[in-house]
Parts: sequence; C-alpha cells; structure tokens
Amino acid sequence: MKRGQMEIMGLAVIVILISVAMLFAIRFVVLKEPASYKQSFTQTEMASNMLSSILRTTVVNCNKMTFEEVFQHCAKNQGNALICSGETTCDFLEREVPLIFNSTFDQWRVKFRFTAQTQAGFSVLRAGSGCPAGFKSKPYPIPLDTTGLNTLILKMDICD
Amino acid sequence: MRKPAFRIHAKRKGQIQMGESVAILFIFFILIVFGFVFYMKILGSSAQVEFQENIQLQAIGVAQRVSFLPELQCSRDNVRKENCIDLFKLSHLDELVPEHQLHYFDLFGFSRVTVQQLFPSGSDLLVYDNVPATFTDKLSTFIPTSLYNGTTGNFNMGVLVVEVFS
Repeated sequence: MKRGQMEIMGLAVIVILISVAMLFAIRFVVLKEPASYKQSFTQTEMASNMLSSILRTTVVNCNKMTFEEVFQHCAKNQGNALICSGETTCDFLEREVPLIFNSTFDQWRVKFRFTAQTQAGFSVLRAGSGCPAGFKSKPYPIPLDTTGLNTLILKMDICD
Repeated sequence: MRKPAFRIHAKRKGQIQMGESVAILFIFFILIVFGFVFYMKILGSSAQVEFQENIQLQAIGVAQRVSFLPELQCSRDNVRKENCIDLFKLSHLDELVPEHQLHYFDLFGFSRVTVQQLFPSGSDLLVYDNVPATFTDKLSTFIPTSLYNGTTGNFNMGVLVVEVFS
C-alpha cells in the first residue's frame, strides 16, 4: 500500500471513531429523558393514600359506617342485607366508589385497576380498565371474621 | 529583463503551499466551530434535563411538606394521624399564613395549595397561594387525603392539590 493510501485509511478510521462517539453522545446526552421522580412518587402515594382515605371515610346515609365497614358488610352478607337507606351495602359500593374514581383518576387521566375480592372468591367490586404495562400496587386486607381464614383483599393498581 | 524560470517556479510553489495552509486553517476553524456548537447543544440539553428534574424534585418536596404540615395534620392526644387533614385547623390557616408569609414562602415557594372535598362533595379550600406574575412551567400533584371534621367526628374524602410554578 502506498503512503497516501495509508494516510487516507487513517483519516477514515478517525472519522468513523468520531462519528461513533458523536452518536453515543447524541443518544445518551442530547436525547436523555428527564428522570420521572414525580411519576413514581405520585403513583406510590396515590395507591396507598387513595385506599386509606376511601376506607376511612364516613358514609353519612349508611348508619355512619366507614367505607371499610361497608366493604366488610358487603363481603360478609354477599349483598343480601339492606342497610344503606333502602339499598344493600354492595349496591351502595357499586354506585359510590366508581363516582369517587371518576372525580379523581379519570379527571387526572390516571389509568388504574381496583379489585375487592374475598379469599373465598366473592367479588365485591371491580373498577378501572387495568394496566397493559407495569403498575404500582397497594394491597389492603380486611379480616371478615375472628378466625382470620376469611379475608377481603382490596387491591389498587396505578398504571405506569 | 526576464526573470529566470526556476525563480518563477519557486514563487508559484510557495503560493500553492500558502494556499494549502490557509485552506487547512479554514477547515480547522470550521471544525472547531462545529465542535463548539455541538458541545453547547449538549450542554444546553443536559441543563434542560437537570432543570426539569429539579422542578420535579421541588414539586415533590412541596407536596411532602404540605402532607406533613403540623398546622393541618389531624392528631389525637398528641399522636398524629397519617394522611389526614383537620378541617378545623384548615379553616383557620388563612389567618396564620399572611402573618408568617416569609416562613411559608420558605416552605412552599411559588406554589398554590388547595384542598378539594370529594365525598361528600364540598367546596375547595385554599391553603397557600403564591403564584408568580410570569411562569413558564406548572407541575400539579394530587394527593388523596382524609378530611376530619372534629365537630361531627366524621372523616370526609378529599384531595390535596399542590401546584408548583417555575
């Protein structure tokens, strides 16, 4: 190989190396997405706070029971006993809980899935469309009797 | 009188070499300018990313401070209740904030904090309001929370809305 050809080869190698370095710089520095600290914080907070604040809420027209007690009553009686001003606790939950989710998650455009199911398999409530990808989850068990064998498990998934 | 041929040839060769040096210098400076522009672009882009991350962290910080504000938190026998706002304390916070503006500015900066009552549906209550005259970005954080009514002993369901401006 002549000297001139060698020099051109050297230049070509340098150009290729610089191009690769520039591509890496563009990929990892220029096109870098900001870390989503807020999203992960909001998801975790939302799942746990939403569940705990709903369950603690007092239902005025339902013998001053809390939502936790209403869930418990519905799961125990499986929608048979009338207790909330002419309707069953299960009907009350079916009506009121989705309304709360409509005025929160749907307004904030947050996808979620909520399930309340006993260990025996009785489904108290299901809401939300579900998460196609990942989600942050918060389970909340409510004991239904003193044996601890029958438990109602509430699960709130907030989608990524 | 005519100049000798070797002198003319040497002069031309010198001019060509000079032209070569000028061209190399020109290309070199162009490359330096390109490199500098590229470097500035990278610097600007990473600064933008850092700025966005800082705003997010600031918004989280304000949301955390509001959630754990003793002036709002429910407590019984000096034991605080997690994720709960005392409506009685909240109704009197608007008297406290104007008196200690600097203290609350240190805590919340340029932000607006409101409490919305969802169940049973009720009105919005303002906790803190300091919106700058001009801002480029606004980050809203929603924190579901319980609202305790000390008079009736009931817990309502609400949302703490924290909007941070930058």
